Amino acid sequence: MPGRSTLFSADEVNPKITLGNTPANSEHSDHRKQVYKIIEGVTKTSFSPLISQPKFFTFSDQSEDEKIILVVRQHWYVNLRWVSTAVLMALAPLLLNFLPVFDFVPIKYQPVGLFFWYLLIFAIAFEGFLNWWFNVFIVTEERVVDIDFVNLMNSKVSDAQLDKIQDVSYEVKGMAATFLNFGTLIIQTAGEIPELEIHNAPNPDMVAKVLQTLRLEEQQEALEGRLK
Amino acid sequence: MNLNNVDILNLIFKAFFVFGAIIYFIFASIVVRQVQLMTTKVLDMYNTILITISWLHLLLAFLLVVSTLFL
Repeated sequence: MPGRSTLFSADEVNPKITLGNTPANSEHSDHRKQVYKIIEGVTKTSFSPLISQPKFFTFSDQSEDEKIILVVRQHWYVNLRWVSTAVLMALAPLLLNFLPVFDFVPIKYQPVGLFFWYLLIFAIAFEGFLNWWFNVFIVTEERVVDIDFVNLMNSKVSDAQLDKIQDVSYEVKGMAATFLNFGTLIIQTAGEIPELEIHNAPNPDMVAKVLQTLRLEEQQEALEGRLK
Repeated sequence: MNLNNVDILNLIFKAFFVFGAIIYFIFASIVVRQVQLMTTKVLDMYNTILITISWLHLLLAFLLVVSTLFL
């Protein structure tokens, strides 16, 4: 498939397992250091589509000792649709001043109609923003959590343990996606939810690398635990 | 009671506006509820602002209903 890259398949896994003295749950394991190196330079600001180790961000079923490594929202580009719609709709009444299409509406209804119109624009913009804001993909040191705000009535939360991840791939399709570096991240798991798809993820190769490195860390921990 | 054409047109517009405003008010209430639910799932420092905006939006929707009723 053009544009689709499978970065790390299960066959390619080479965890470079270090046995012996390496502490299983060490916060500064080689893999973890590698993860921090990968996400070095990623902002901690809330309004960014990619946030590393956020200070003021938690999610509902996060355990107390579960540390968030990365929060991924959709690329800013996806907001262009509702922004442009809102701008065009806001400009429409100015255009209608020149066109007598609403002259049949009684004069006393026109201000209320305008108020209704601008309220509708606000609703479109607010909904667009909420859709972006609450659609988050969270990578913690134990699992990945995908929170989807589908529309006003539907939301979906799915998660998968890092050691259940089997394959991480991503695809970048289209001119805008290639130019701005965003794409769909596909995570296949051995868990209850076989596949997680994160659409319009910014910097998908970096996120995939982070996931793979964390998965290797989990594997190493599991193996050391088993040997002990 | 005699209704002329202008009155009938006014009534039609009023019914249309009131109905639209009520539907919008219901929509704004759902937005408030949804924001409340989502802010319990994703906790961020800006959630209070989003909740406030959704309530302000509901208030404006209520004002819209009132203004259409008294036209």
